[in-house]
Amino acid sequence: MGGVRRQDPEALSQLYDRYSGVLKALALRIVHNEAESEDLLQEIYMEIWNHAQNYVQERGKALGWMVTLTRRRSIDRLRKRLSYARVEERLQKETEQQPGAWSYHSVDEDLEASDMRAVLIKIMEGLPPAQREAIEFAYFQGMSQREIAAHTGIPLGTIKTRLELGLKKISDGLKGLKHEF
Amino acid sequence: MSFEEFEHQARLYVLGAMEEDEQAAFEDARREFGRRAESVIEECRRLNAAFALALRPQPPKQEAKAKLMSLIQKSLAEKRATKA
Repeated sequence: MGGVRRQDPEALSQLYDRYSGVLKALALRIVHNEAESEDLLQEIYMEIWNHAQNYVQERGKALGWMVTLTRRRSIDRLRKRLSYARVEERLQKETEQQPGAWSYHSVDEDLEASDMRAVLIKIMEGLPPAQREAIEFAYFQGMSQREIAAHTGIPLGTIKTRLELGLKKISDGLKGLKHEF
Repeated sequence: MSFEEFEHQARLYVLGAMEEDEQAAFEDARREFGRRAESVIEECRRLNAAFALALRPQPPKQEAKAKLMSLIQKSLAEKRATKA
């Protein structure tokens, strides 16, 4: 990231090679459109290039910063593209077709899964489905707790509890992991 | 807000799932707890990255990188021209 801050194109090239697959996967999971995820990826790397000086190393690792940028831009794009009603309709369909964002990427199906990913997937898949679903609405759709409650028809208190318990379990699971994020 | 409560809330904060009124109370507590609070928030930011890393990577199209690097070179040239 230091090289990018010094405006070294080679540093950005390396950052691209290292993380573009992860960032595109996230954008694609949010917008569900291949062409849009490619557009977003380019916008995100341009933003990284233009605003790398805003990245404060003490506040966290570079990947965390890039993931935050990607998530924010992708959710903005999703909201601009579709009216809220359309999003709701689509989410309902997606939820029915694909109950878990991580489950269909199970480790057994992905022989190339890295050890790190395998551990992360196990943590996610270890959550009760209701907790995982609440987290997915928050993370991939950018919904607040009230929006999740309204969307699912589940009481707000229950949603708060599900998010709290689910996030705590994931957080506890990550504590033993040493990684770049 | 107790520190334990702050830790719970920090995860929601990082996820952006808080309501506005909750966020205001959280920001007050954040100032109150100072460095301890920042350390918790930083730890919670790992959650964001972890969710992304759990997805199967999707390599972009080959031409995408060339297009990006061309835009970067153009941007650099413009900056240099402005300075000159």
